[in-house]
Amino acid sequence: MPTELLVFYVLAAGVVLSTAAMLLPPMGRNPIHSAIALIVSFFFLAGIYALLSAHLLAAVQIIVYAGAVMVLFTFVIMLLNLTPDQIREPRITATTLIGSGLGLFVFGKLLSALALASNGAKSVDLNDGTHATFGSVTEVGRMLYTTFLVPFELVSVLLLVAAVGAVVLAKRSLKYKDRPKKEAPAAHAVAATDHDTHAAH
Amino acid sequence: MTAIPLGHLLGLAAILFTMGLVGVLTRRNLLLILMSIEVMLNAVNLTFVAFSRYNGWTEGHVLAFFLIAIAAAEAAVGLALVLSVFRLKNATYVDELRLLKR
Amino acid sequence: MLHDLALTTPLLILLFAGLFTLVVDPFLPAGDQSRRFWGPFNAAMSAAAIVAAALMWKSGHHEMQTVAFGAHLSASTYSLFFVSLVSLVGMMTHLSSPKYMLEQGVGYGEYFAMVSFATFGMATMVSAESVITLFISLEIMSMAIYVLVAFKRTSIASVEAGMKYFIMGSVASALLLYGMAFLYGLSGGTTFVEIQRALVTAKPDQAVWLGLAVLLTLAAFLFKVAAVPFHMWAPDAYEGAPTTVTGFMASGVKVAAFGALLKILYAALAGQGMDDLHLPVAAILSTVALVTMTVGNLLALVQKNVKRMLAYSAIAHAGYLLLGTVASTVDPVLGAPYAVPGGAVPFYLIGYSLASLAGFAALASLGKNGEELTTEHQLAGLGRRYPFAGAVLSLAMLSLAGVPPTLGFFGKLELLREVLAVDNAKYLPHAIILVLNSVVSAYYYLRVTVYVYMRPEPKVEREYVTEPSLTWAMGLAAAAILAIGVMPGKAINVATLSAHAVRTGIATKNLVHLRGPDAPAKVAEVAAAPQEAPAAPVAEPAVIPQP
Repeated sequence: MPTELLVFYVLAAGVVLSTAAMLLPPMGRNPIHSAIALIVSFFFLAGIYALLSAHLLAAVQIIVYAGAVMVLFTFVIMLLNLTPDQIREPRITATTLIGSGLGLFVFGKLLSALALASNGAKSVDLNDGTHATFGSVTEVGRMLYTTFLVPFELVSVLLLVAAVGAVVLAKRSLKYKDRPKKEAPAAHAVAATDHDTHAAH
Repeated sequence: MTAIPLGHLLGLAAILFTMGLVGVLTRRNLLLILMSIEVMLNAVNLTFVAFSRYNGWTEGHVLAFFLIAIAAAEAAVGLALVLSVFRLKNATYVDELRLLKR
Repeated sequence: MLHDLALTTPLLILLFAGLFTLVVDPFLPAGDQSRRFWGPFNAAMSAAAIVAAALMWKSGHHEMQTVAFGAHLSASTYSLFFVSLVSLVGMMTHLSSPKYMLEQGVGYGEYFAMVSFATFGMATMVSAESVITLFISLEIMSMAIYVLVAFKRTSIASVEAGMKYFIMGSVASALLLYGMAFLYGLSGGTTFVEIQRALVTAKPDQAVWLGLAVLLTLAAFLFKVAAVPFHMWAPDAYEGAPTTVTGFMASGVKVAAFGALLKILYAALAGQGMDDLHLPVAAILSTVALVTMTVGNLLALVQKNVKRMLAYSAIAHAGYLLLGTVASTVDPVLGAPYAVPGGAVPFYLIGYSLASLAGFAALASLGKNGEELTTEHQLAGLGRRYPFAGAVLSLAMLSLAGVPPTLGFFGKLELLREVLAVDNAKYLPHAIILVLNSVVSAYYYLRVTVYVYMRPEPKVEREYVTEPSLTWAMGLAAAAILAIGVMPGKAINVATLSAHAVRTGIATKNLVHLRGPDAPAKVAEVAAAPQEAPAAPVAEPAVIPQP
């Protein structure tokens, strides 16, 4: 068995196992453990990207995904400050069974389609040097700023919308809130902390 | 020497996508649901990279970068929503929410 | 480059409106009253976008010159029509919102910025010429709308509705992306023209793959328009969201989703006809349409809350529109094997979005002091206490039901005419079911009118939200419903022209003669032609050689 294939199997097993650990108890019981399992899964995935000589993507996967996105997750879990009685054992219910059944059905369909489709897929030597520039910063950067200029600019709008939206939704209180609410918020929640500044970044 | 067949990569992506889908459908914890959505997006990313690697197309690579940005935006908005749900209901489980009981 | 940038003027105006609102808002004097200014301001910007699109429409056909723009956006007649329609929806939402949001205690500047960004997303979505642009603009729209649904942060109904919409929407996005990934794997490109070219030459062993890609893509769109297997989110999201946002979702998202669906169906997936997709797409769509309209109407019958009833009615209308998507005609430019959608869907969308906007604007006037008076009983007395809102609400219901002098009637008529024109009335049973559904729907629409005018008023003195811009929104929508209803000819003409132009955004010369027995040779010829560098000013997207 070629070394690369062996490494791929190890990494793939790592991805699948850590994702399973994220979803299933005992780790999947506590969100923070799930988040850590997911970070591990992202690291394995970054390994696969590196194996496919997508080095830049592998780095970004770790820096942005495992770094930024998952840190955001753990940060929010920390903010929620869940007590043990707020964490419940996942139960097997009708929804669980229906959901799993549906998922397996989709999976079966996917695999059969893939099996049929990749029959004719040609083999490409990953080391033949014709794709030497593949995944390099130069190549990706050039494409990003020429052919994909419009989507690139649109992504900036998307990120702005997401940032502003997240602030609007998650801030404890917005300024100039002097009107008594008809619908009283539950419990400790929206106690007015007026030192907060206005939401528009 | 062909190291890894394309089918293997696509199969791994399909497994990941299914795990994410099953996670969204079965888990009741909002945070777990958001993480499952991230898993689905990662599976798609792997599919893009596999196709682009095996054909020497750079587009798939660029698309993978876009996808990471989109996933980050989704995570930000999703977590903000989880926070504001938690503020009002002190709950992170979907069955404690009236509307989300499916 | 500058020429192409100029062609995106309507989009840029919408984007500018949102950015300006965000940046200037902190400098306005404290207190929510001053935020009401943003409503008319953003409405004026949307109107400017409509004017820009109309001027471009007048000045004839436009094509993007550089790959950077041309591969991703178009300024075709089709795009311009839908851009104006979503801008109109945005304008009405801005006009009807300021006082209502203030009464709900969330009259912040961010609300108007979000509506403008969502409108920008919709406008980009219908102008998209590549799946990646389509997807990113879909996400811009969706993100902004998740936030808008949950905008009333102290209301658990609003926040839960936002959460539910977010989860379902994200799954749909993931499905769409997975479908896109397979389309990319088959074609090596992301633009509609490359995908279409690849589908022409797809080998038989790729058919399963192709079917999967198309199925995943369709599922995501069916979710966005709330068609039946994917409709569960709609009633809760519509009921929980602030009323003006519900109106925006009901009309804007539907317009944008159908605009993009028609384009991706005809310009990317279906080269010749609908059934040439290695998957019986027309059969799937028409069946889903029947189930959707029937389920939507039956569930709407038993609703007591008008917002929830309108949510189910929106599902039913999605069913009518889906049936309209299969009504194709021969492409007037390219001739025989190529199909284009008829004008019925765009025309129906004008009537449906105007009626929804009018109805929800009228309902917004019931949102005094943070209340949401939207059950039928709470409508009693509206006709006497606030006659204008009562009249507009009734007119909107009549138009949605399809009663003759209104725009909704002509929308349904045109839809039926085009559906029956396909293949010697192949869809006759479908058309009959559509008519039966319309009859059933009249019952629950007219029930609202009965409550508005014929039920005894409640004992308590009820106050309504009144504001000049809200009156303008209601008045404009109502006037348009009546005016276009009296003279539908011109609007049908415009809708048909735009629908026939669905493929013109993607450099028509790339598509001619690609089909037929000599197709592979032609494709090889195109692929072998000397390629220009990516940044060079060519009028067509770079052609990627077939794998």
